[in-house]
Amino acid sequence: MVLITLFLSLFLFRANASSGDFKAAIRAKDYEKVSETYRNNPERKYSREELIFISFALRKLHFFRQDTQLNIRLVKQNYPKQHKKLLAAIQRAETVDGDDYPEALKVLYWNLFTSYGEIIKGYEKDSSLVTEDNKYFTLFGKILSELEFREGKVDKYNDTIMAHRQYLTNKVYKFTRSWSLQYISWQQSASIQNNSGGKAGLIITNKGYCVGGDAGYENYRYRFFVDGCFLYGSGGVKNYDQDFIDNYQQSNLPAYGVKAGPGASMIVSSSKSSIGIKLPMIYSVQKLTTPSDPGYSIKQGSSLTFVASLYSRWQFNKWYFQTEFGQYINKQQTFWGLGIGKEF
Amino acid sequence: MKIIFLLLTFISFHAHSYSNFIGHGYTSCLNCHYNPFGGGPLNDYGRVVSATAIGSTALYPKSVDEEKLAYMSGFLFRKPTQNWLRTQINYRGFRVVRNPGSSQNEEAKWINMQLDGRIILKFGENDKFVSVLNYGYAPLPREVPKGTKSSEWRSREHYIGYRFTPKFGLYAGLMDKVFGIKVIEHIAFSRVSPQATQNDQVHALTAHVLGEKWELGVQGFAGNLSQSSDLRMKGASMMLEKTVYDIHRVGASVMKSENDYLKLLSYSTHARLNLKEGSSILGEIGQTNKKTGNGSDDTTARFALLQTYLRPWRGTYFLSNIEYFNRDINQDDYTVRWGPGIQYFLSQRLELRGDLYNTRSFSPNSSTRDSWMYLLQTHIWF
Repeated sequence: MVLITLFLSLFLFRANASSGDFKAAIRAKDYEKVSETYRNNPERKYSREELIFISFALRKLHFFRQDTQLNIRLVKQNYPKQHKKLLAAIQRAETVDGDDYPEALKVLYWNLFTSYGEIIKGYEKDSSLVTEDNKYFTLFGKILSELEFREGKVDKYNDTIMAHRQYLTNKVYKFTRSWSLQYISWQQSASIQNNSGGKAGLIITNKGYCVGGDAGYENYRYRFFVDGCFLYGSGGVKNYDQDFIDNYQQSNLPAYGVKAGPGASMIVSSSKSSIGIKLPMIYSVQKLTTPSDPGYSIKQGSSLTFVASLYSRWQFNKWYFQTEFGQYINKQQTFWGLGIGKEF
Repeated sequence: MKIIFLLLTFISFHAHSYSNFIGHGYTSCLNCHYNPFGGGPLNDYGRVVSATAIGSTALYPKSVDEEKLAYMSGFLFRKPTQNWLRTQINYRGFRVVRNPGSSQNEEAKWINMQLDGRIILKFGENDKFVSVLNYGYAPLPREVPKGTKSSEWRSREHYIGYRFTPKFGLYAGLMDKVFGIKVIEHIAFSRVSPQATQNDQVHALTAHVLGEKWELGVQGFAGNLSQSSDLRMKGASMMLEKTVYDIHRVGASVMKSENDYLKLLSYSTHARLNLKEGSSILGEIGQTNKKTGNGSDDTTARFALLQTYLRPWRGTYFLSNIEYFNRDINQDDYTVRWGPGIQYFLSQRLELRGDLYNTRSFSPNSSTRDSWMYLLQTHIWF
């Protein structure tokens, strides 16, 4: 495309013998030489052909900002009246006849349009600079459309730049927060001990609810957050080693506590469905009664446990549905939960 | 023989059906399968979809574009040279590990679950007449006593179908029962409880009606005729699905069946939600009312299924499989099976899958340790 533009430009401008050096450098693909010559003396009165060679070299070297300045200089130098007339017509929303304007001017507008586009594509972060450059990009896109010059290509390139701008916007991390309600099940360990040193393990399986929320930062692809909730529920326990102690059993033992921790997830669909991990700690208080048999006591495991869990979330506008499945770190028990939430 | 059929019902794991592909916008199974209710051989379009939308392109050079992939989706990597015959080969095997990590109870085994040869004859505009034969290897469950005489090679399905119009078709032969969401997991309570799982095919006459925004299946069945007559579950079923919000499906099913010993009435309601770009949620809840000949084991069981799929990139699906089962709704005891999994379509003919199952029992009078199991599965088709 750049080559075609160069060819067109040269064809449309009159040749100038003083551009011989630039021409030779371009042929030798020594774009640095052309660029350096220009940078060493930008104010020199270059011929049109020289400026076109310089523009070509700058574009080859991806110096698009300098190229826009050069092309504006070319427009102002060679087509001030046509340029003003065109802008005025567009401003007044008048119909523009592309045939009234020279092809060379249209090529210069094309150069400006694509150079501003390439400048925008070079941005890695959204900023006011992007907005500023986009104003010019949009302006030259509009001019080319009015002139009906390379319409299909203008539209396609415009789409590419819009997609990049959207990408830059999407990359920005935004603060989000939500409340949630989960139905959960978690386990606690304990043991029965007797005076002679014997013991039998117990598992308490609880179920209940966890009410809380999360807060964090997310962009279009990743989400980093901290979540926490108050849990309340109940569970049962039974000893299965009847040789050790007969019939130790309890039901509906109340349990309460908190679950909190950091998490990270990857957003995998346009509806913001996501998958990730959480590393919560669960602090759960639950009191087992001492066995009625004399000589036996209960030793409960730590109330504080750490969990590594897999987390997934499906978003329905502001509402979401989530699941979590975790394994206690260095323990055998598991935790799981499923519930709903709403962003606010 | 009776024992084998009963065990087959409860031991099998997987079939070839992916209801979660509603996440790719496919609300009806008929898009990709010859059987309008899914499962069994893929049609030409289904094979192209599996090549160009489902399977990863990791193994292909960049020069292989989607069009080439589509052409390579035929049997033995070739575009079919005629329209009336299709052949397919399907293999599925997995390593199952029960009680992993237990020094005493760990049990690991490789099971060749399925090796099928499939022949499809199809004629007429839009394949209005189809004839499907799916014959292959299905292992006897491990519980079957050694020395039992029973062939491990059998027809999984054989039927003919005729679509009188694009919206209405009749199918007759050995096929799956029409009931609920046909999920991949055939140990799913939602499949086992109504007896609609991998080896519960019946000789049936099925009507399929496809509306603009709804789909209806009505089936009458005489049981599996290869079983002895007293065991054959005879009955009828019906399933209705409706498209909601253009991309989701909600539905309901009912099935009544009985043999000389057992009467079952199953009913369920389900939803399949399209979360876009391949992500989806499947949910089903239902009950099976069971009446036995002598009334000794009359119960109503309740089951629920929630399957969630997330597709981070092409070829890969992360899933959660959450199931609930209460064997008798008059009792408070119930079981929850929960497991994450990953499904990876390495290329258009190769599916690798890992599933972890954690089963937890809830009872007011007891508390037991969870049981664990994992599966590492390979699925190849040509």
